[in-house]
Amino acid sequence: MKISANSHDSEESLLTAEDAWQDYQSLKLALTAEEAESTIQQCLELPPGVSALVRELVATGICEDEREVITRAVEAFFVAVSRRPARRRQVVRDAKAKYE
Amino acid sequence: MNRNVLKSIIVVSNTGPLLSAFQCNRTDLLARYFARIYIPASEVEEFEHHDAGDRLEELIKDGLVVVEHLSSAEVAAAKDIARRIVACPSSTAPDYHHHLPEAEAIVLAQREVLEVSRILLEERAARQVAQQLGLLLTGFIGVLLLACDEQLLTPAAMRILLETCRQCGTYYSDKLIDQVCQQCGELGK
Repeated sequence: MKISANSHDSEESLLTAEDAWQDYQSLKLALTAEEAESTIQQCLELPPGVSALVRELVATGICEDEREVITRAVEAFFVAVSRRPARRRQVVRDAKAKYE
Repeated sequence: MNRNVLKSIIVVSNTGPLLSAFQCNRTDLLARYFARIYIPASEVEEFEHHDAGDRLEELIKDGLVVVEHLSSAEVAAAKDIARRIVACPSSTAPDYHHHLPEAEAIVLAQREVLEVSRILLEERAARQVAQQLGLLLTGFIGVLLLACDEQLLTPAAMRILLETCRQCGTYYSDKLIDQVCQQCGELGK
């Protein structure tokens, strides 16, 4: 079945190519933001045992919040496994400056 | 694009963008990017008037489109917005009743409980008022350009879709079609 004309009655009343481009960019930005949030959510979906460790580190006051636990854990892991000594030293220096 | 983010956006649509999707038979692209499309109840009659009632019913059954009734306070707010649309220099219709469908869509998009992130709207004057009210916008062509970006559409395919819409009566000018197909080509490079 053919869908008949809609209510657009002139070229002047409709959006321009510039408007359409802005629409695309705005949509793309929204989906990119959703993608970033989805990635973070996936990263934060920790196994239950690990989540309990994170909560314990915060509850006992070792870390201020979950963000600090994850930040310090990543830094410690990087220092433990990185094969770049200069980079390792840099991470240690930055961490000391933050937490001491 | 990450599958988790597809179908993540909730929108309100005016009649035009949905009709364009029906006309060129690409409602699949709306379903790809949008989790839900709300429309004011008054639009249903308009779709029937354009022989698109059955197509709309299919999308309602699929759960993509949800019809919402406006309260009397919202209807009153829509009349005020329709008058604001008439006052825009780009408005081509002097009677505010002509702009009530767009105005009702704008009011629906402002209903916080629906968690709408943007409104699908193609009339320039209505878009101007929606922007003044802080709403984010898109149109059917913006959706097509996103599909170009994902390499789902070529410029030639986009041209066919837009010309099909035009044959059905949607006023997409030669200039607009040429320019957006060029944009589609740039995205494909």
